[in-house]
Amino acid sequence: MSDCRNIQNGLAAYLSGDLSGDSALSVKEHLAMCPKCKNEFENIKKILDGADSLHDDIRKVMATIDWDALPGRITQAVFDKEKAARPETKARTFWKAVFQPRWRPVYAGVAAGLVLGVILTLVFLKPGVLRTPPGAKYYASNEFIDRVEFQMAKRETLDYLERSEYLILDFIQSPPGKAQLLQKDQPAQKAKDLLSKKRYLNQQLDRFQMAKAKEICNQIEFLFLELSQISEELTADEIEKIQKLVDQKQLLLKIKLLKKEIEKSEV
Amino acid sequence: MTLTRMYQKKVFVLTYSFFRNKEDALDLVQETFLRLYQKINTFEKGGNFEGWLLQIAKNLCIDYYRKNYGKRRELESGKTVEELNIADARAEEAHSASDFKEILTRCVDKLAERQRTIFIMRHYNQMKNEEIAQVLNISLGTVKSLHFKAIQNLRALIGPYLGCEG
Repeated sequence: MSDCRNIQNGLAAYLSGDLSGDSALSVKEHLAMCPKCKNEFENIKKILDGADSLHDDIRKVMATIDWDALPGRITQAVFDKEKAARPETKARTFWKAVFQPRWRPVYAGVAAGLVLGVILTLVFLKPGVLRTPPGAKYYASNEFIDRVEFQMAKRETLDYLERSEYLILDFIQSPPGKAQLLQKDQPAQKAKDLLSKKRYLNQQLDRFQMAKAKEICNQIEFLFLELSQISEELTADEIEKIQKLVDQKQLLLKIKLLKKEIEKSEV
Repeated sequence: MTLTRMYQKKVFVLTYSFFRNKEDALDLVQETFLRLYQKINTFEKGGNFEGWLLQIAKNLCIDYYRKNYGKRRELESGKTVEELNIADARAEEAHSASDFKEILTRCVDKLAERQRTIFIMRHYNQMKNEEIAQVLNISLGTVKSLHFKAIQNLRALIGPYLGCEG
């Protein structure tokens, strides 16, 4: 019994070839005559054979691997890992120190201040962002604009009438001999200016239905047309003829009446 | 690159023996060579390079095994080795070699760490005791002793399957 225990304890070594010659021989002899130990020998042999056969399985798996590609993959992995573990440059270390998490509130405050500063600058200094720049168009209703334009038209008309009045007065009050001199430069030019102004006034008068004003202005226009087209060598007869025309149409009187009416906004 | 070509298969045999999973084994091969290139300056001239390399691989395998395996194999099948043994013992006639291998590998997983490592190196990697002693940095006697204990324990675990008491 004691022999059997010893033999069974040595079976693994015997099977592995680790026993010396004498020990191996005594195990062999014992196995030949002891069925129990022989059975145990078979069991252990089965385990070791099974374990050794796993090596064949490994070989089958190895046959499916591309061994030529593996070194390249491993080398690449070595380079990648080295690259990742490379010591940081001085510049990188500096920025890392600057942007430490503990400084984040400070940077956030600075950033917020900058944003606020930019917004305030835009609002208070730069025209046109949120503040209406000086001289820019204000919003105004159509009614208001109409009223303003009407007032402007009135003033323009009054101005036109006044200047026309002075021009006509200059012309008709001039002595027959000097009328030619005056007419030579000033009246004709002034008449032309007034004619161009009349073109603008036409639109205004039509727009605001100042019919009476337009009629008188038309007569003035006709007169100025005559004045601007007459030749420099105006004869005394021609001047007298124009003066008569002014008298006949009572232009000056009409201008005065019209001026008063416009001033009172009765047109 | 040349070192990798020379030793990749030997390292793979060791890593595959531990996990019997091709992907895990290849990952461990890669990791072994990564570690090798990192530590190459620490290798003493005239030493056993292969043993040193396999030692690195073995350490990585043990770490990986501890982290990722453990009870994983049992969870994969939902059966413990004991349950497998009983089930298999009832249908002994139907046992095939592959069934036995499966039982055996499960039982090897249940061995203590050093016993398992030595058993794997000895039988899966077909390393000699002297080589194992060098790789594990232990005496030859310790290798033999641990190998013997590993077989005894396997015998006890596989006993029911073999149709006899352990």
